[in-house]
Amino acid sequence: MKNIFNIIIILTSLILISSCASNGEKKDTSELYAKSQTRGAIIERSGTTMGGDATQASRDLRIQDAENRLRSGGGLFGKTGGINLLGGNEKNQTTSIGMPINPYLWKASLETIDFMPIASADPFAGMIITDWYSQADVIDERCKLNIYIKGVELKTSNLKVNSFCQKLSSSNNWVSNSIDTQTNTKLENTILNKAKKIKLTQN
Amino acid sequence: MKKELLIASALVGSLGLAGVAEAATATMSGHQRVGVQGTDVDSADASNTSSQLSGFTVSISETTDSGITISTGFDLAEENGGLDASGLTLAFASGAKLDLIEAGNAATTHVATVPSGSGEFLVTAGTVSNAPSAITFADAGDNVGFEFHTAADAFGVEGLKASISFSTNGDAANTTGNHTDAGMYSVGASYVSTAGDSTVTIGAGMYQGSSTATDSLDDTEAFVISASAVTGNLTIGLGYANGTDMGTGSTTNVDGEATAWTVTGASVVTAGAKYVSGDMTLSVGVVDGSGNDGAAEAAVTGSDDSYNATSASVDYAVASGVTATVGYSAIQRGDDGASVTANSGSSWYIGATVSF
Repeated sequence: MKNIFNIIIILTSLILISSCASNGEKKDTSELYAKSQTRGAIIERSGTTMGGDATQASRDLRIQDAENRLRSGGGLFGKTGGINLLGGNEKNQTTSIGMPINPYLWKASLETIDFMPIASADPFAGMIITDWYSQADVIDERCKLNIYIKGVELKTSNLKVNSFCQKLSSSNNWVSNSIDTQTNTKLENTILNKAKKIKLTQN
Repeated sequence: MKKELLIASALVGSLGLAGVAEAATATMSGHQRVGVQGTDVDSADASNTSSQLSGFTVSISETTDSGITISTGFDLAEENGGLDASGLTLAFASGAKLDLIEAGNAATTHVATVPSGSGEFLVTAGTVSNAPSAITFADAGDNVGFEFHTAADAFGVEGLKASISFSTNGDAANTTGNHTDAGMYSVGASYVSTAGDSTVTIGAGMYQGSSTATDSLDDTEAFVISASAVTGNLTIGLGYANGTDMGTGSTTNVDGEATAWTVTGASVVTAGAKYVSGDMTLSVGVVDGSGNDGAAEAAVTGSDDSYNATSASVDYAVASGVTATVGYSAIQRGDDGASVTANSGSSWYIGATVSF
């Protein structure tokens, strides 16, 4: 039996590795899997967060918890088991209806700069322009942001952030600093990260 | 790698963005199973007792720039067990998944569940009869391991998923006559398809383990296959497993020994049905297991041990997360063809499970 098993292991490994490279268009089969009765599928759709799978006892407990959640429609707090310890429920807050831009980028942009006053926000043009903002303890410096969302896809090239900062001179005039492209990139990364999180949370 | 904003510029500093690198998302969940269980063992008077089992889990996850979700967690309470960490799981954007540390067993992952009565039944297994009682009877593993799961529609086949797992217990030294699972590797696959009004799930897997007992004539190994069909509110399932199981601790077992026993020719057949009527779920199941036990270093002799169980239950979903359960189970265990009355009898359970 060992030899047969080794051959199966090797063949399966090769197939698994080769399958990682495939990138073809796939038919949506989620409805089919929603009725799968394997342990893995039941655990996945139950929302159970029980883990620790190295022992048989843990595995049995996990499937038991999962089956009970499916029977009773989830947990006390709804279909998805558990309470988010950090609070917040970002679900159902983003819609893409009628928006010609990526809704996740839009929402992430607004959330990222929610502490700044907004001068203008146009979801159809994909443009957010903030007003000047100074931190309370750094009153001699102010910044504003222009954020452009350029398309419907969640990708780096569809987001552009321009920051403008000024410093108060000794003559009481605001003098523009040189453009800091590194900061712009960091801000873009922050927004992109947040957008991905929102997307994954909602999916 | 996650690109975190550090205090690197006037803008970041003045706008207070230094803290945008957020902590991972943490979720807590758990359950409490509370009930009364009655037992009528063949060799003793009937008795009843309470059953209170708690589970409490904290899970933590975060998603990287590339869309890989990294999750981990720990079970603070795991019913009769204590703290149990959950290893690390990487879920890729493609749908593939990799469990690292505390990985599962690929065969078990793909087993199609076979319905059976639910509830906490108290006809204890004892140590005399070592016949297997479930189709996953020997799927051991170790914390040091991995399990890789393909995305849905593996290898271009609609409805197919597959997994491969490996674990090694490198800290367990080989000895003469003392069994510990030294490692296990496993493959599993499942296929789900529709046939008329029914959705059929077929799951199968194989696993092969090794023992630290250098004089053992056997290793843990088995294959399992099961199928489940869902038609409307009715689910029926059938499963079969066959192989060799190994273990320790049967101090009173006349066939085996405390440090290393084996059950050769271990086989289990299970069948069951479940019917959902509104908030009510009725389940019945039967299990028939057998196998010949003995000391691992010697050829196994004697007759098979046996395990026969019938169970039934009614679960009622009282509210979201709350289930009331009434269950009954009858179990017969045998050792070398003779009934083990101390570990045979019937048991009933009335209780509730509350999950959050």
